[in-house]
Amino acid sequence: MSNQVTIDAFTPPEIAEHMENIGVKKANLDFWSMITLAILAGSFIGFGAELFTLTVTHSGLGYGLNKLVGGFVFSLGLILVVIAGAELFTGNNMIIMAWVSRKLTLGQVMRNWTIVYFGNFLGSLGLVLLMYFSRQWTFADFHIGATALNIANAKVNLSFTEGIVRGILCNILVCLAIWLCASGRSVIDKILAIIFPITAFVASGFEHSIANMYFIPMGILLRGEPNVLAAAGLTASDLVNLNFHGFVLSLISVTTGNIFGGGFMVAVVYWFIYRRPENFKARFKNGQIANIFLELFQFNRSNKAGKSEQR
Amino acid sequence: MSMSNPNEVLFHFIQLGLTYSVCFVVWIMLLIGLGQYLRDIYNQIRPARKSIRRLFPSHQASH
Repeated sequence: MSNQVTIDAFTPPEIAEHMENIGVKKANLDFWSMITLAILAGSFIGFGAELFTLTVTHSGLGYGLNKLVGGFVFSLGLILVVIAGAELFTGNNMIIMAWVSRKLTLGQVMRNWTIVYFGNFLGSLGLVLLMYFSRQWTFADFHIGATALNIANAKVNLSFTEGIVRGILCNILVCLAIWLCASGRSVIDKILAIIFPITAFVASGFEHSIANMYFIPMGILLRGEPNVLAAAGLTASDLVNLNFHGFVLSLISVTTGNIFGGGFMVAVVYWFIYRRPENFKARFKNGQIANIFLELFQFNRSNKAGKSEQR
Repeated sequence: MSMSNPNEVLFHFIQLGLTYSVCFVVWIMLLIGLGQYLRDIYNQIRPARKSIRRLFPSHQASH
């Protein structure tokens, strides 16, 4: 029966096909829809980050439980992104799956990533400004602000390798959350699928480039507030790396890690398992691995196009 | 880190290798992708440039 109603979750091969189709749809969105959805996603993740800051301040719990509760509430960000609908850069790293299946060109993938990354940045910065002007950081005798300052300072003091590796680990979990979400049919399915991977990444202290677009600018704004510095027990000399330069360096390492973790270690791996073409093994054996890569990057096609234009 | 311990030297090189190989793969992909994206943008605006040239032939001749 073709019209049989089922409540079973989608199987992994079905998820893989679904993710490819979603990737094509996302990449073909028009500019204004894409940037607006990206701005929304940036602010949604910012809301998760803000709630995390509030929750872990003076919670009275031990280290692990405190992190666990913080991670749990941070899930709000991705729940808003997935259920309400928005374009998040780290989740969109899964679009690579449609590229390796040749349903998209690398140029189309990059168009999506560029616009979405910029939009996420705008959304996060907008929320940072709103939160700063709300003076919510003065709550609990400036300890909310002190927590935000400590979080931001810890993030800009990571080494380049730490940023990359924590970025990889973070986006493996975020993209697995997106992958699990695609298996669900109802809103409850999707929310439950999101909570555990997101809690795991936040509690483990991994680095999310879009969340850092909220945390670090918030810290940069708060470093000029003497009451916050006093509450955090820090002096200006402790915050030498908490500036625009430190922010950009942190974004470079964490974003690189996020792309590798989500794009290569989740999307490409699942594509290889469920969606690789039938002749892949034969071509690999025949030593055509170089051709596979050249076709993927469109070098062959563009060369041919160039020659035909010259004629 | 003391480089006198061979294990630490090996660990250091593995760490560097991991960092640089991830950066190499991701940044090369981003560079090629951004190149293709810019080429797509250029191909989109090229017809518009041609029609502007047709609208202002004297402007073209003056150059």
